[in-house]
Amino acid sequence: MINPDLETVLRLRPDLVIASYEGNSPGLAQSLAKLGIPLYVLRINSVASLTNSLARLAGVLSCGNQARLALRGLTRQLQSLEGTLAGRSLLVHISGEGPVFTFGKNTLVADLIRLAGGHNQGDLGTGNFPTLDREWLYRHRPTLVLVVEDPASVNGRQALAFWRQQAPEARVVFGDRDALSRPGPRTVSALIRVADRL
Amino acid sequence: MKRRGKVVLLTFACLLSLVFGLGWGSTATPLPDLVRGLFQDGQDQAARAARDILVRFRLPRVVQAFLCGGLLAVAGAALQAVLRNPLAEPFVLGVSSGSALGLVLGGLLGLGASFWARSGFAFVIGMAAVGAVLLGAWRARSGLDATTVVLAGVIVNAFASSALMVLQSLLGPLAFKNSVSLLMGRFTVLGWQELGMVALTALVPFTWLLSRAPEHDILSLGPEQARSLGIRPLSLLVLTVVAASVLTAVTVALCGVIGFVGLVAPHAVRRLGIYRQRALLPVSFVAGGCFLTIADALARVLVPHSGLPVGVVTALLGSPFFLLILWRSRGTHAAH
Repeated sequence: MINPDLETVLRLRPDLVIASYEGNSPGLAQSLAKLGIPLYVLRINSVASLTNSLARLAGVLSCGNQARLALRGLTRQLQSLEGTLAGRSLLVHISGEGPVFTFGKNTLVADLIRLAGGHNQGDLGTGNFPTLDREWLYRHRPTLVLVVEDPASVNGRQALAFWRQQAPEARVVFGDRDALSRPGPRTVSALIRVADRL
Repeated sequence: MKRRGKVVLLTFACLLSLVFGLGWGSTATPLPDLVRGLFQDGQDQAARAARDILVRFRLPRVVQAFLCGGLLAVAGAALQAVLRNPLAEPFVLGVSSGSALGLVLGGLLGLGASFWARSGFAFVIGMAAVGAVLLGAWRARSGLDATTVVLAGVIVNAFASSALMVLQSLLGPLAFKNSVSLLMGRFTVLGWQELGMVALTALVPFTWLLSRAPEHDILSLGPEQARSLGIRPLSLLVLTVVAASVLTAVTVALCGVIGFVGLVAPHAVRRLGIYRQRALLPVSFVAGGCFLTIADALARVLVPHSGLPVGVVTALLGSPFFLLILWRSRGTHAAH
């Protein structure tokens, strides 16, 4: 939930609120502090920040054993991802109407693609979600496109039609929208599933 | 400034905007390479790619930006005359907010995939907003007057903007980002057919405004003077508002809401000593076109791949420019 309703949060009486850095207003921390509700903010934009956040969160929640198991599982997954995209250049298309949004270089997905030995074509610009216009797409002619969307959805079908027209020679695969667009351990498994299909 | 100086200045502005618009893009392909690509062997892949970038992407975008900037400037110049308000611009009448509401609503209704469906829908909603302004401002005894039209425009603007925010609150983060960039002005690459259709749609109101230019000059002196010279101020006001709104709705449907062009361009042209509508309208068209083309080129290169809306650049360039015009004209106002 982005910028949650404080009245709802208060009614739920949580012991701890975990928030993502992206999308939430800095005022949320002050408001929750006034209400006496502890807040833990996660900023996951790389593999290192993912594992560190998980370890620190385990410390906050005092669940060392379960955290150790989860971290071991995550490390195994990261190892299995290594090299699976070697030599491949991937353009990730976060589907939706309007221009082509992709993941920039300072995002977990981009870092995971690098770990897998691939090249993320969105490693340009300064923002986390660069936009790519048709001139750029024509010039760089992507050969492998990962559409972050359900292939059966309206957006998924529109994205497929767009790539058939824009880059007919490109191979288009679909990935789990929820897992890939919300950085966390599930992002790793979602990318492994994509790599398995290639 | 003498006539020759004005022609030289406008020609220079056109050339500058053309060089900026064609030379700067999302890929590092310099203008000389693009031009060379036009004349090189068709089998050469690099030359073909350069030619495609120029003809398929950059040139249509420059034409689109020039057309939209020109139409907004013409709408602004016409409205400033008939409303006798130097702050009047295309967006004062609620047409921009109405069309913007149509753009976002069209997207939510699933019309986003078809350019024509969504733009057509935005155009219709924009014109409905103008209809609401004219109906709201209508008085049984006196018909319409300029002040009431502006007031009704402000109200309709506020209503449409609020409705727009309600719709935006329903969008996800990326869709929200997309809608913001769309509403603050964004050019997508259109084909020549679409651009031709848009130009044809705008041609009728543009020509009509030009044909009524002398009457606009007289109406800008006041309705009584206009009436004494045989002009019917009410019908001229209504038809001009509708014509300017058509021009504005076309541009908003095409590229979102781009502020400042309709305000800055006509005032900049007046600073050249061009006051009569017959000359002001076409010269404002050229000035607005150049301004928006340069602003669009800057939006592409200032923060690459950020999707920086062109409306942000027109406001950043337009505000200091407008302040400079005001500062330099302080002596003139004192003399008046």
